[in-house]
Amino acid sequence: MPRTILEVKQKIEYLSILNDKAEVDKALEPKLTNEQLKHMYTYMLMARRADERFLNLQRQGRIGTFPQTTGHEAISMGASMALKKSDWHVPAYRELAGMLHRGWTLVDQLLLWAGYEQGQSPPNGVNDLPICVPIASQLLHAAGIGMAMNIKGDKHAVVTYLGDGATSEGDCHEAFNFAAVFKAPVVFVCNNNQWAISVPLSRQMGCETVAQKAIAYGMPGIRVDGNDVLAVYAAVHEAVERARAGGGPTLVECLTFRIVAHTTADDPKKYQKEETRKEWAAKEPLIRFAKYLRDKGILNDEVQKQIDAEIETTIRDAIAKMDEKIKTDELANPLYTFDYLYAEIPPFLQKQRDELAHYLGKDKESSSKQPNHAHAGSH
Amino acid sequence: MSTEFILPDLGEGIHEAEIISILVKEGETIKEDQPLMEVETDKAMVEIPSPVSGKVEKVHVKVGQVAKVGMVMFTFSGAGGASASGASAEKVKAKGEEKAQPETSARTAQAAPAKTASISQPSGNGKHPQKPSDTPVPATPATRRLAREHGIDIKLVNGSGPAGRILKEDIESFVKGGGRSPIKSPFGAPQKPFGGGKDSGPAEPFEMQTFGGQPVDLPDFSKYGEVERIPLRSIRRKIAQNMMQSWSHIPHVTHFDEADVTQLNESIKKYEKQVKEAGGRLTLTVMILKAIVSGLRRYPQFNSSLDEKTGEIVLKHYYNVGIAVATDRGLIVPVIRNVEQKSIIELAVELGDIAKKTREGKIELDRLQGGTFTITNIGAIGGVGMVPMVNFPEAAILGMAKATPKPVVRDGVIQIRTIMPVALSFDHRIADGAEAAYFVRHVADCLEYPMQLLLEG
Amino acid sequence: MAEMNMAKAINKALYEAMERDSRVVVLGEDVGQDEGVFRVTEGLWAKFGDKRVMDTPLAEAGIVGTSIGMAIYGLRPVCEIQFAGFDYFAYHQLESHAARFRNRTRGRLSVPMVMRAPSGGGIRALEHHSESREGTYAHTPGLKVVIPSGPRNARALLHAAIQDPDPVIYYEPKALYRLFKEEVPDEIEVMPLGQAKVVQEGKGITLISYGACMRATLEAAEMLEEEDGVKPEIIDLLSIVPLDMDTVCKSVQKTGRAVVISEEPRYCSVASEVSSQLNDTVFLYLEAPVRRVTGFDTPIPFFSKEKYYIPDAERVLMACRETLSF
Repeated sequence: MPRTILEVKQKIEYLSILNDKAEVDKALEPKLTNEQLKHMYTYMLMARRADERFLNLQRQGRIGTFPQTTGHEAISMGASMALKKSDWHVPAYRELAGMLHRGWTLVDQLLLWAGYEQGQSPPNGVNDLPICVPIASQLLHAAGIGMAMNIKGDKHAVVTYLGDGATSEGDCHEAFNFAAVFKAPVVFVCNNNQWAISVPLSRQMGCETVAQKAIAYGMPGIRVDGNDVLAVYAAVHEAVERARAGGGPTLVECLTFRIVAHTTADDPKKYQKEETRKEWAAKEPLIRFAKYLRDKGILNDEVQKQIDAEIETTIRDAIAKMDEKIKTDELANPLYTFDYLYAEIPPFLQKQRDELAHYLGKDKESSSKQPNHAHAGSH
Repeated sequence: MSTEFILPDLGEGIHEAEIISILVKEGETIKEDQPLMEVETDKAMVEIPSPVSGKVEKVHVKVGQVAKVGMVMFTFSGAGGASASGASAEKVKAKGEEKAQPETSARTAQAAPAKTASISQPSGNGKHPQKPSDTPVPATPATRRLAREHGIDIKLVNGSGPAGRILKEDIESFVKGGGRSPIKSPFGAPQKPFGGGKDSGPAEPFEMQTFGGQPVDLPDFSKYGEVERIPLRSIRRKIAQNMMQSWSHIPHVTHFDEADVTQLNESIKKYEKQVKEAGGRLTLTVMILKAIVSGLRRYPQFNSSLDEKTGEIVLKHYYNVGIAVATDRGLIVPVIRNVEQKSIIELAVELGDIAKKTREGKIELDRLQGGTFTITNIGAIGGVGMVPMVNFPEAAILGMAKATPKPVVRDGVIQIRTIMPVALSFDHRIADGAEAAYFVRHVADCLEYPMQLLLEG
Repeated sequence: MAEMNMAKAINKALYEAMERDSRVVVLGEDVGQDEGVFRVTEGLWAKFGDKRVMDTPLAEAGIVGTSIGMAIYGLRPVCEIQFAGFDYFAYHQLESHAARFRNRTRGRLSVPMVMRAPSGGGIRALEHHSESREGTYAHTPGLKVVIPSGPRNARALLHAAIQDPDPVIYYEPKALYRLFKEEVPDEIEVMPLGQAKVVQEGKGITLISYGACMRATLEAAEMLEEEDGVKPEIIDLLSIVPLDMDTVCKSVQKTGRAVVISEEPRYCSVASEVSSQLNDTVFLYLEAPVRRVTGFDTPIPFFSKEKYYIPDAERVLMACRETLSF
């Protein structure tokens, strides 16, 4: 009975379309219109500028801790571009560009980081879950949504995100497994930025790539250049098409590097090498994408100026709107804390609400209830 | 308009930051988001951008200083409307204030009454100024509710339940009695023999204190007819215990005399209207109070206590006279303090007040304490005399029977005079019969010749 | 009207709910072809097929987490955790997400799902198969917790739980699955959540319990009446969250005495909560301290000694007597 070889019939592809020198592989170039390309660039840049501006707001004490997304724009932008409105988008928390594309506003984001639940309320008509902080836990929701699509016979797909750190979580395994077993139309987009706060990739896994894990679950896996928005789009697009056709889930690993701090409360100088960061910073997605667009004649100085002005206005308006909104009763009144836990407030909770109202000297207000759909952002 | 920039929490729960460098100078014009300084927290080194455009009026911090979150870092002038974001620095500051203010004001509002309450309790401007103690008395919540419904301070009620717990029955009989705590009383049984309610449960085993020995076995009374056994409860039990204490500790002697109150009664009739206008009722008892104090001043041994432990007689230089008041529940003895300092009108008013309150069960506890001598007047009921029992640990008690017109011999002539029998029981360890006779005679004289009292003031 | 045991009654409710609402799906370990290790999902797979009755991989977080996703997508998942002793594997999904989606999104997304699990001891099972941890869920804001005590209310409560717009933990006292039978009406009954039931009117003392402990409570009540002449008032809580304290308080205000009986460890338990709320509300009516007769603050012992841990009628009776003679 000699030892034999079991051949596992799967390979991991690596995909790069637009490299860091902004050279494009014409054969692989995805079919995106000039409009779409410009839209992608605008939203990626908006996410970038917002990120920078949010950092200042945090330093000024106007918003709280938040995770920066600079350098990660290509991943959620490319992935969300592959979705239709009827598909579902289940983010982790570094997907600002993608969320803006899906219909979330900067006001939502600002309110969330300023400590208001309203920022987590999905915009009307958008099939999204809000940002999820407990690592990998939302992957199961995405799997469940995918399973439900199958049960109902809906030909939609779900895109969800995870970091490299998330691959260590049990929920990640369970989500991959459930999705694979039930052939759920889910695309798991891994934002492999090689750092989970201060813990490097080598402490998260003993294997070489995240993508190869897909083999064990019986789903396709692919690694793409995470700073190449075209490659991300192409890979996710392919995966989404397969999912809709009943081909089940895919794992798309997007390799990048976290060139900013984990959150505003973090200082990467403690654990990252300056040179490595600089090296990766040169490869960040916007530089090459801008050059690509200029080469294609989509972008020039004048267009850039227009985009810059548009972004500046959007951000400025969003901040002003946040300042305005947090003063409204809807956001400022602590009594509304109680009103959304259950569909109907149970008596014991009403009592506690009354207790707080009494403490605040707002006894009269206690019986009032917020309208059930209190989405903060306007669209 | 100048605005201030305070150090925000830069991480999650950061409280302070070291100033590494300051990147602007006083007088410098700056733009919103222009770096102001670099600071280092426990978590990270960060650059702080300006929230406003304007002029740096003042830099409040120095390089190397450790600044606390909430400290003013910079003052800007001319800041405001021009700011790119539309958010002026005032807002930045206002936000900080907003955070603190409602909290503070709400807290103060909540805390204030509580504080007042905690101060007022010991100082005692409440209904019951002096509590028996600050520690709670044992009672179930349901019993407390009953006490509360009757407006009674439960601490005034004696408990007859396990480990001294106050029972519902205790509250009920307390209320029925209209009185207060079962104070040691010199008297025997009141009208109603026992305080226990009909629905009372089994009584605690009660060991009666007896004269050196075990409780005596009783014959089986039921052999001779139907009997009912009623437990000694609450105030009745307390009276029994107090009487036993008085009886067993004080060697009693009683001295009898009579007081001719004919003239006094006439004087009372003459002045009662005046006293009534002042809100009191002029009675023999009021006059007796004055007479007693006059007597006690002369014979202080009757205003004392014997300290058995030290072998000393404790003379009291104040005259607090207890008056036995019969209530439904048993005998209660409220005390008029410092009788010597009060006018007849004042005493009349106070006596009326305490008697009423005692009957209604509203008497304050401190007015049941601190007596130095007790008087008891059964005159309203009748009788020709009695042997009162000393209100332990006092030294003496004066009892008065009904004042009635009697034929008496005055200057060899039989006259009809109003005569009141009086009896003084006293602690023979402290005083002797002769002193008692002098004392009682003096009191009787004061009643017969009220002028005596006027002389003494 | 048919007589059936509790396992059958729960099964009936599942069947009825799936039949009348195509959004209702059942998932869990061995719930399909095997029809559940306690046979509670009997006949469902055969009737409703693979899509709506899903045997899942062996992963509790996966079962609950995907149920959350399904619920958000518009289904009404009823997932089964094979034993309550294993639902901690999914606790983070319930606490961090099921209980919070509505609140987090200010009412935009909700999670109408039911997690069923057989709970409690008394069936001589292995370690981890006898726990009663309803207190843990009751302590988790945003969840509802329901525990039936017999076939009829089990069916009526499960219907309510499935129809509820919020996540419901439905604990099935496994000791009762086949302990006794009850008449269950043919037409569907729905018993609103958050309503306790006065099972017996009485005087002098109120016994408050739920789930499997209702048996010991009823037995103790009978002994109390027979031996001591005291007919206690008895309340079956049925819903742990929301807790119907109005019914409980009304009764205790009348009787002045209360004993709360439950199988879970005492510390921070449902019994403690009931006791505490009685203090808040009817303090001035209490003739005696509120007693808790519960499991102890140890893990439930291996089954050789579980009977000393689970409150029995004698223990309840002793507490009643001590409370009455306080």
